Amino acid sequence: MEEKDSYIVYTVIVASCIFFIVALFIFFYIRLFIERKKRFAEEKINMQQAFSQMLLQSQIETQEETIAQLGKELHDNVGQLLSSTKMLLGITERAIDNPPETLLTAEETISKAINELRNLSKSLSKEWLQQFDLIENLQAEIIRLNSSKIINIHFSHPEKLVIDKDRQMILFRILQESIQNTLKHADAKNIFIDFLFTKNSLQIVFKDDGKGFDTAAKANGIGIMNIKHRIKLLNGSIEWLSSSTNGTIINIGLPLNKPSNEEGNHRIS
Amino acid sequence: MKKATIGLVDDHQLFLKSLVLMLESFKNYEVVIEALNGKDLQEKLTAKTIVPDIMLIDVSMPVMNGIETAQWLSTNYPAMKLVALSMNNDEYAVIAMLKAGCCAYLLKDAHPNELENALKEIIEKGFYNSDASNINFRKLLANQVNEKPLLNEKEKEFLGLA
Repeated sequence: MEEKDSYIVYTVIVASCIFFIVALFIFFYIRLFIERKKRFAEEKINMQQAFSQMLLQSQIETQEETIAQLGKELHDNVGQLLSSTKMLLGITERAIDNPPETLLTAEETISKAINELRNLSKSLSKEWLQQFDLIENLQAEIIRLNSSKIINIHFSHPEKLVIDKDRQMILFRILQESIQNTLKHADAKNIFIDFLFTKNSLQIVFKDDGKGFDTAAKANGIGIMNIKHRIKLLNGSIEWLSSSTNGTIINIGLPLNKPSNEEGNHRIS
Repeated sequence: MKKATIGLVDDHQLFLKSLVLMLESFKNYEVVIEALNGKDLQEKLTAKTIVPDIMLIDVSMPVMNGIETAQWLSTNYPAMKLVALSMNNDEYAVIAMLKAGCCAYLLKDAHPNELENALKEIIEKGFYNSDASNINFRKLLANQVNEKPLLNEKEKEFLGLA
């Protein structure tokens, strides 16, 4: 009897051991499976992020290509037409003993147009992008715009920006587009652009004193989407605050050095 | 005085037409060849017996550009005076055209008075320096000096050993 009892006890122990081992095995296997799934999902997200980053970058590159092409076309074709006109005016002027003031003014005006066009197409060219300096170029752009007397842009900035050239270029395009938006839509007299540095970020405040716009209605407009795309490429943040009384304020934040999140790995360089 | 003969190469027909009108108004010049690009010019030059004294060359042209055209002309017609006439005042274009054998670089939007003066000087002295107008040669030369040396350190070392 005792022998039988001990046999049963023995069997139960062995059975529970086997059961326990199987349970443990299943438990570990499930955990491994879940972990693998999680890792796979993470990888997928990373890959998607890398892909969208690459897509954005190639979009920007295509845009730059188009812009450079446009600049060249403008210069080559419109420039030639203006030059021909200027030459014809010059020939006419020489053929007349006392050329009228109107003719001389026309010549002067067309010379100005040619110079404007030349500067414009230079600022769109690719060579110009390779030795790009945001502050220098923004200043030149501002001088050009301020001299038109349509707007007064106040720009306060550091001496030098230590950011990759292509990041500077993207930032420049964002600011350029913002200025154009103000010029086209805001009826503003002044624009204030401030560059502020915090511990590890660059904050840019762009402010105009125009009539503002409905940020909700324009949130998916091409212009704003374009700027958002560019900001995303820089791993930055942007917000528009606008009211009819206070004009429009754009706050841009850009991480300096390594951004804290994973996306820093896809930083363009 | 015998009229100086001039050839023109430019892909912009309207500009070419204005240029002919301008040169005719100067009285002392006769336009003998008009071509739309370097290749077109090569064909017209070989077909004609007349070789112009001066050739005005645009820089950016399709098929065969101004730089290639100037190089070809300097090799095949060394006596011909080559003059670059362009919209473009960027340093690369100016240097490339002068290196290719042009004795002057003029901008298309220069006043006819300046162009007339330039042609006169080119015929008399053989060159024209348009420093006073639009192109800053000093800046060009300063930039030239800054160009990278042709050989890097490794290559120099190699040559030293060879």
